[in-house]
Amino acid sequence: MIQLFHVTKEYPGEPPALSDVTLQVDKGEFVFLTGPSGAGKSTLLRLIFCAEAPSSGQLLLFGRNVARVSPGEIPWVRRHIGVVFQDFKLLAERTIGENVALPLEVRSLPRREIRRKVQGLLRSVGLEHRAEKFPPSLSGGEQQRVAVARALAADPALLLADEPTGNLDADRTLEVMELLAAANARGTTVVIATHDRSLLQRYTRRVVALERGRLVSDGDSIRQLSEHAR
Amino acid sequence: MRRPVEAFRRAFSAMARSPDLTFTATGTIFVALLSVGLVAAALSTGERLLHAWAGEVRISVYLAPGADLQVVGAAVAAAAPGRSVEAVPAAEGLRRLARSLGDEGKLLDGVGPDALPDCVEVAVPGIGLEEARALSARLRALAGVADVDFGTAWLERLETVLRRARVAGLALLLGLGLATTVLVSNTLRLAVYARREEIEIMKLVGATNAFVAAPFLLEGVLQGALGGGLAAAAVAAVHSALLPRLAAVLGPLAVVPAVAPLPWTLLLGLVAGGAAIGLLASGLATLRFLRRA
Repeated sequence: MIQLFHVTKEYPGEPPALSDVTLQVDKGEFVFLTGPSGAGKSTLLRLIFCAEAPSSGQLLLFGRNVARVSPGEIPWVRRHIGVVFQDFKLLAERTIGENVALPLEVRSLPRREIRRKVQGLLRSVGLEHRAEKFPPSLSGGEQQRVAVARALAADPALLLADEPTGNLDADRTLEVMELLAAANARGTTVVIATHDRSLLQRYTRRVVALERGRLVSDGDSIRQLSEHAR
Repeated sequence: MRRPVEAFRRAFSAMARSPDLTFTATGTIFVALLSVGLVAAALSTGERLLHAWAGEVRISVYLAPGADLQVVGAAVAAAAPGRSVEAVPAAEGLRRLARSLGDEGKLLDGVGPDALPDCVEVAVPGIGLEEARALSARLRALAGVADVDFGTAWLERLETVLRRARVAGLALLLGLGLATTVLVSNTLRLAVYARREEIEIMKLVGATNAFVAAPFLLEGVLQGALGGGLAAAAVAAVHSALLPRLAAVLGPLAVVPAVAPLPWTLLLGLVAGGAAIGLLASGLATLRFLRRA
C-alpha cells in the first residue's frame, strides 16, 4: 500500500524534516505514527497524500512511484485516500452535511446517493441531528467527528489521520478511535499520526516512531517503543 | 449532463454566498460595456444616417459645350445599367433650379438658359458612397462629359469623420475591453482568494482543476452576460431617449433608418462581449490561482 525507500524531505535553511526513512505499510494495516512535535509525522502524511514531493528517495503508493505521478493525476490518487486533518479543515460557511458530502460531490455522484451516504455517515458519528448546522456551532469533538465522517465518505482504501484525537476528551477519543477501527475492520488501511502515548497504550497496534525526521523504531506495540526510549 | 448542471448549481450558490463580489464584478463589466455601447451606438446611428443620405443621391452629369444631349444620355444609360436616366436640357435645368430656390428663384430672372450646361440626371436610390464614387468616375470618362457631381462633398467629409471615429471607437473598445478584463480579473481574483480554503480542501479530497475551475468560469460568464445585458438595456434606453432630439435637430434629414431601433447585433454583441470578458477574466484569475495551489 505504502512503501518508502530512503525518503528525505528538506526545506531550505532548515534541518531535514524527514531523513532517510524506509517504511512499508501493507494493505489492511492499522499503524500509529508517533513521535514528539517536529518529529516529521505530519510531513510524512503530507508526502503520502501528495501535498508535497520527497526531496530524495522513493515513495510508492498503491504500487505507483509518486515521483512519476503527474500533477493532473494527483486528484485521482487522492480519491483513494481519506484524510483527517489536525485542524479539521471544515468549511465554515457550509453545513455539516455539505462538508461531509464534499468528497462525494468531487466524484460527481448523483445527489440522491450523496444524500443517502451523508445521512448514513452522520448517523455513524452520532451527528445526524446536526446535519444542517454549521461547523463553528459545533464543539471541537463534534467537528473532529465530522472530519472523520468526511474522510470516510468515499470508502477510501487508505485513511490518514493527523492527531485525530488531539482536541478530544477521553470519551470522544474512544468514539473516534472506534470509528477508525471500524473502517480498518472493513478493509481500510489506517495510518494515525499522534503523540498521545495513552492512545498507543490502549490500542495494541503497530507503532512507527519518528524523531527529528528519522525513523527510530518500528514495532507491534508501545512496549517496543518504551524499550527504545530506555 | 449532471456535471454541467452541478457546476451551474455551484456557481449560482457561490454567487449567492458572495453578493458583494458578484455586484462588483457585474458593475465593472456594466460600466465598461456601457461606455463601449454608447460609442458603438453613436457610430452605428451615424453610419446608418450616412448610408440613408447617400441613398438619396442623384448624380448630375454635365455636358461639355457642343456635346449632343441625346448621345451622351444614351452613353450614360449604358454606363449605369438599371438606373433611371433623364436628359435635362439647360433651360429645364434652370427652371428646376429656380423652383428649388422657392421665393429666391426670382434672383434668376435675368439669367439666360445658356448659363447652365445641358445635363443628364441619374437617380441612384440606395447606392453606397463607394459605389456612387465609382459610378461617377465611369461617367466622367464618357465622351462629351465636362463634369460629374453627386453633390456629396459634405457626405464625404462626414464619411471621413465617421471613418476616424470608427478607428477611435475600435481603439476605445480594445482599450476598455483590456482594462475591463484586468479589472474584472482582479475582482474575481478576490473571489477566488476568498474561497482559497474551499479550493484547497476540494483539491485535498480529490477535486480536479477542471472541477474547481468550472463554477468560477461559469460565474465569470454569468456576471459578464448580466453586466453586458444591463449595458445593452441602458444603451437602448439612452438611444431611444435621444432619438427624438436627434430627429428634431436633423429635421427633414432624419431619414427613416436613422430613427429605427439599434441593430440587435450590437445589443447582442454587448451581452456576448460581457460574457467573453467575464470568461477571460475568471479564466485568468482561476488559472493563476490553481497554478499556485
